[in-house]
Amino acid sequence: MNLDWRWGTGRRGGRRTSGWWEAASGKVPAASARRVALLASVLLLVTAFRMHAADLDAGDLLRRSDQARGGGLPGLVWTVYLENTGGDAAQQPPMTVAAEAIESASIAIVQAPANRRGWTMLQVERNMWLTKPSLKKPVPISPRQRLTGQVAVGDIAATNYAKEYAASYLGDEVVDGEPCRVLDLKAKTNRTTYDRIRYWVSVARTVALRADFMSLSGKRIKSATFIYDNTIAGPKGPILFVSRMEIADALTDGRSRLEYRDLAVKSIPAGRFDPDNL
Amino acid sequence: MRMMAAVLAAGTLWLVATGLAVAADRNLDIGRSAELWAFGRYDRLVPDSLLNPYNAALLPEKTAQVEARMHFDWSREFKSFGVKAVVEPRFIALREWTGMTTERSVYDNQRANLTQGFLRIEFPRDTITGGREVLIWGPGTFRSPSNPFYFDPQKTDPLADKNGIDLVRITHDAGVFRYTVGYVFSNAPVHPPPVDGVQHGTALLKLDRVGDDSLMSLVASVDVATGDRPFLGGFVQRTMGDAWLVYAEASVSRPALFLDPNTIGSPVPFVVRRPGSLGATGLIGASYTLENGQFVTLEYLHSSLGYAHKMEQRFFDQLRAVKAGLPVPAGVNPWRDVPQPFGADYLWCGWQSNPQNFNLSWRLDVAVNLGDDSAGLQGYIEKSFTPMLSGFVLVGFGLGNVDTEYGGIYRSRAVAGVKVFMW
Repeated sequence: MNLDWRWGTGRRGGRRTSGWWEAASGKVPAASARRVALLASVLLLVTAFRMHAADLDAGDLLRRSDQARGGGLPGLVWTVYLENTGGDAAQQPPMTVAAEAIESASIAIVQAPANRRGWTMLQVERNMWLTKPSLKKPVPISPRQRLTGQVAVGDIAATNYAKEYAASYLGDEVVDGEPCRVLDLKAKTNRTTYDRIRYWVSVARTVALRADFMSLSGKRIKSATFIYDNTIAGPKGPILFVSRMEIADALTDGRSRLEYRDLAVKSIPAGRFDPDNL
Repeated sequence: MRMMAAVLAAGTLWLVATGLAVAADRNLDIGRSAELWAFGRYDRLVPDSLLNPYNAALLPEKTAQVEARMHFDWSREFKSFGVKAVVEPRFIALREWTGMTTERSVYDNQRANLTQGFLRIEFPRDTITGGREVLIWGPGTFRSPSNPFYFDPQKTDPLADKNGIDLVRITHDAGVFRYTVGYVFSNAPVHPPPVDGVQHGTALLKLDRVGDDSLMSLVASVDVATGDRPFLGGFVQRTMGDAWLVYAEASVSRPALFLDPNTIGSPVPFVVRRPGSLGATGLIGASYTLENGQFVTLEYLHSSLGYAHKMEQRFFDQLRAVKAGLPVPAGVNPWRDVPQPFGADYLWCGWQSNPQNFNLSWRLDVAVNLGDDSAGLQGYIEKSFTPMLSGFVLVGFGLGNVDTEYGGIYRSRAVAGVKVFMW
């Protein structure tokens, strides 16, 4: 038996035959075999291209959905109102954070309550620092520390998942009656906030409606849902922007609600992201 | 009472100034915060100290202190630039009980000072800052060899306040690189007065390179008028994987003076060499973050500017001789002019709570002078009771003989107090 992988269809004596089997069994004439081989190659290439295109689409979808959470814009400022429930939330009063972000950097400064006023988190590329009034200078924060706390630093700062994660398309699902593309995001390096994210992006609005944040082993750490009642003036027209994010801790009963307010697109001086200026 | 009046006056002044500013300009952003610290401190001094004989430095044994730490800032954005002004006044009232001198004494003091007060103009790529500013950099915790102004930025003392230096500097951001040129008029808040009594201006040049997960800096400075106190240093830090941060700081410098202890039997116990010799200081460190966000840090410091073991012993031998009556030459103060750092080799280890834990923060650390085997041990904890109130306790121990660095002044110390977050 000839085990060459060739496929397509052919006719022999009026009977439609399975070209693949015929070719594999060595019963197809040479010229037809070449045509079959060519067709098979084309089909293989087309399939590979379509798979790659789906991933390209996934990447493009991710990039466009980032805009609704602060990524990819020339400069953006906003305020986050953060409230925790469950877990040890009884000891954590609501918090107000003022954030500014550009493509590669963001800074978040706590404005309330009084005992946390002035706490600042600065992110430049994958470097991160934390400072507060009682510290003499900013303290570098490791990627592992970004994940701790009921609300991780990465939840408040702008997201740039397109830069940090490789996206692949998993399928379609419906979230709250809205059709979504489901993306599997895998961290490109081990310095991102989360190792893996399952991301539901609305087909109609190209914004993320839901996210499951997971460890490398696939264990779910947190889940989040997003609401988009804000609109900002982007460089190419109005952009839907997140107005609320609800985070549920998968391991405890802790819940967090982040409300995004006072948004504006504006250019931000580079010195705002200089650790020497903290 | 006087301090509270000063605090109220500052607050009123701020309200009036801000009100006028807001009335004149609705685009002004205003920030403010104020903390009131009240604490008691007990220090058990070494009774037969060589570094502080008969408590000549008048270090208190007990202290009751109240201080107000305030921050005010005003920001305004214009079409092509932004302006920010920051003022951080401090008001301190304390009572000290000093013993171990010829007589016990009680000392009252109230003072006000400015830790920071500067104006900053921000262009898209350039920043100009002038005034009094805290300019601390570098990843090291124990010491900062890469900083000519803040070798000991007091990052290991959770109660120490920030102290700014008077400067003007310009920073240009060129993407991956950042350039800073500056002139420091005075670093008196952080350094004792120079030997000639004149505060010389210092020129500063700093070059930063921001990588994906790394930061590098090169620093150079020199006394503008005399060319003295040349300094060349830098640091590098890098995130390795998920939990590791590794870093190093180093510098080559020549101090303004070096206190050289003579061998025992010499008629003159100490000689001051002006300027000191060129020397190098280096620090390497690593920090590991645990799964719960706590982190452990280990640092090693070596400096050729400090006393190696034998020279340190000679230093203490001469202090014994001075205490026994050997006269010190005029212009020499062996207690004030000790080198920075004091020793040549140190190990520092710290274990700290998750910095993102807002309700409870704590730290344990130990510093070891490897030359004389003395160690300083310290623990600090702060608990938030309400958004307006937190309490803190600090305990420290000096371990070592009287002729060692950490065993030479304090046996132990304890501080307990509260912080009120006024606004």
